Amino acid sequence: MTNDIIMTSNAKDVSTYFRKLGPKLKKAWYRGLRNSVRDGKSIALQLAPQKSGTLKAGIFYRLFKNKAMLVSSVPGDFPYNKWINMDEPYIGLNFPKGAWIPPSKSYTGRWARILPPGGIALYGIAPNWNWTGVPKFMDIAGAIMEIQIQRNFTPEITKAIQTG
Amino acid sequence: MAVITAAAIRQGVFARLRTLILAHLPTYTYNSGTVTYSMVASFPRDNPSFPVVVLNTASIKMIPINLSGDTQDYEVEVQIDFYAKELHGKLAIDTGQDELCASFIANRSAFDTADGLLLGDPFWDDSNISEFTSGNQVLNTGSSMVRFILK
Repeated sequence: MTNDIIMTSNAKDVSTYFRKLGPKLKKAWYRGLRNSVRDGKSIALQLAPQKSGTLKAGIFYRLFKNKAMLVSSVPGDFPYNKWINMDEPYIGLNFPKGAWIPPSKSYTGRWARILPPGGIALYGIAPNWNWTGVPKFMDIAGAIMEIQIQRNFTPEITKAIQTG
Repeated sequence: MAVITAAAIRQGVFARLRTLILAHLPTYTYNSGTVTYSMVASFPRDNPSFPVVVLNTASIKMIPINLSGDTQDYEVEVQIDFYAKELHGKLAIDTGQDELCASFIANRSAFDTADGLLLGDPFWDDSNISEFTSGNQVLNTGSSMVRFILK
């Protein structure tokens, strides 16, 4: 009977693991960034006013290796100020079980989940306002993107470390 | 052209890159005709004509390299945006990025000796190509991030 604790490691495997980890983390970062900015675009599209469609059509993103930008672009004569700088009150509606849209309204023609369980949807509230979208929709999209960063990055980083 | 100084780094970098891009405006072929990019400093919102290259102002990161902070490294990052009609295809954006990148690389020794700019790491970083609508025009856009270090 011995009380020795014997630990063995294969130094070669360990060094190979760490060599691979750097590029894998970079790729995981890029995938997290890509998922976040795609989510942001999708949120901005949901919130942007749809009467003329001009603002929706001008939303796009730029994705670099280590940074991403969500952009809203409109022609010079568009009354942009109305939608970007309006400071209306908002109400957050909780969806503890998540939210789904029916096949008749879904792009895919099937039931589609638009909010995960515990999700929150923001709605503008103001009297005498013809709502076709949510003012400050880009600010809100940015704020929601920040909240979702952990959800988008954690699985990618974890996967990279586990499979390093 | 004078060596770029830290005191006027944004103006110096903008002027240098503006001169370089104007001298090497990218071109591509569409319907057997040659289309040449024009260069502007911001996205043209009123009566725009495409293709255009937008040279944005430089973003500077100053990093102290000793404990007292009296010596610094200046990292320069410039975003160059390319806009072309969607009708002309993504090739228009690709060609713009390819040609400007080649011009920048060809001028690397001039950046070093004449301007005091070393190529950064990564020197050239392309974004994805996105499609969007501006007025009645459907456009493709892509960007390139160029990085330098001031000597």
